[in-house]
Amino acid sequence: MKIRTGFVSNSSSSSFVCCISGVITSGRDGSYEGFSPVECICGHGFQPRYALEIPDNLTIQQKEEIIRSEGFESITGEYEVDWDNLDKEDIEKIYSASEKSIKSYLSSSYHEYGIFDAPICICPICAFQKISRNDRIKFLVKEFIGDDGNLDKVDQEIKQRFSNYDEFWEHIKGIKL
Amino acid sequence: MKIRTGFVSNSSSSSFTCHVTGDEVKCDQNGYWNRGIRECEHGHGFPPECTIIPDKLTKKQKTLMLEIYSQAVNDMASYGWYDGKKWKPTKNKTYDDLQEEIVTFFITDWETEGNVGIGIIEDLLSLPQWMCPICNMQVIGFYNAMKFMLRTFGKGDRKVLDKIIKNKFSTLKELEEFVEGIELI
Repeated sequence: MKIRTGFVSNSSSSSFVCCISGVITSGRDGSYEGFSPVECICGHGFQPRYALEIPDNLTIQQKEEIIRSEGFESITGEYEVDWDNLDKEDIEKIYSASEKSIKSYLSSSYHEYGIFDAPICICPICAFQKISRNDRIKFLVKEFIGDDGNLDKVDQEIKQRFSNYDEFWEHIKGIKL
Repeated sequence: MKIRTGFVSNSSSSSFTCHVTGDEVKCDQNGYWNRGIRECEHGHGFPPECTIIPDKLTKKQKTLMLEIYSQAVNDMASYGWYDGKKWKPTKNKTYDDLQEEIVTFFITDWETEGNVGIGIIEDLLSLPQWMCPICNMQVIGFYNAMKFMLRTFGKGDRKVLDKIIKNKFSTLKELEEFVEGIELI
């Protein structure tokens, strides 16, 4: 089933939508005019203020995800290692040397070019701490309509319940999606 | 009539929300809009083809439609977009004389078809309630349907709904499995 929404895809060259707040930022040539986006490796894009702090006890895999993130390459890129074949020792070395800078960079409110391929450990959606707008809408559709997903059913119910728009508006006013 | 032009970022004038489809109607950097949009006096955005033109119009309704059309024709001329095959002079004409042209003017997506060059016709962004498919409950619209569902399931509060979701599922993967097959486009 397909449900049409107004959400612009997250990785567009011209705009970026926070999947939590729905706030849009406009981008040109890789830099952004509103907020600088963060996008995790699963594709969840959000405003930096929603990013989780990097935990202290990370696995080697999490450390690798972090040092390979596009947004941190200005920090980690200076290390002369074979990035195609990083071993455990390289990862530990690079991470421990850049941890402080990465955390500091992440906690700053603005990053001109955004942070892409960000590690899962900072994504509030992956951590199930926040629910994305799309998932919330999908959940509502699934719960309300079921598997066939025909939105006409909702329209019919609304029309049966309310005789005019003013009545309907009274019922839904103030609700923010 | 005013023509809305140019790319104004971080401003409400750079995009409209279509309440029928849920689409964001946006202006690109060259001032071109990705599709036509109408908006009623209550702020409901809707596609041109969803504009309600009653079969039996009152005199007042005919006068208003003629006024908007007339203003548009004049402004088209001043912007150099006047097309004599599509637009007819309105001087000394009544609504009934120009009914076909006027109705076509209201229900056609001029922006996408490129007939108006750049811009959105501002008079088509404050249409009376009787022309709006949302106000007349002909169409419920994506956002209003979602708000209704949110009222029903989450008492109208996103946080309440999020709690329900989190109580029902312990991980994002579980939620994603539940909603699998529902695709947002």
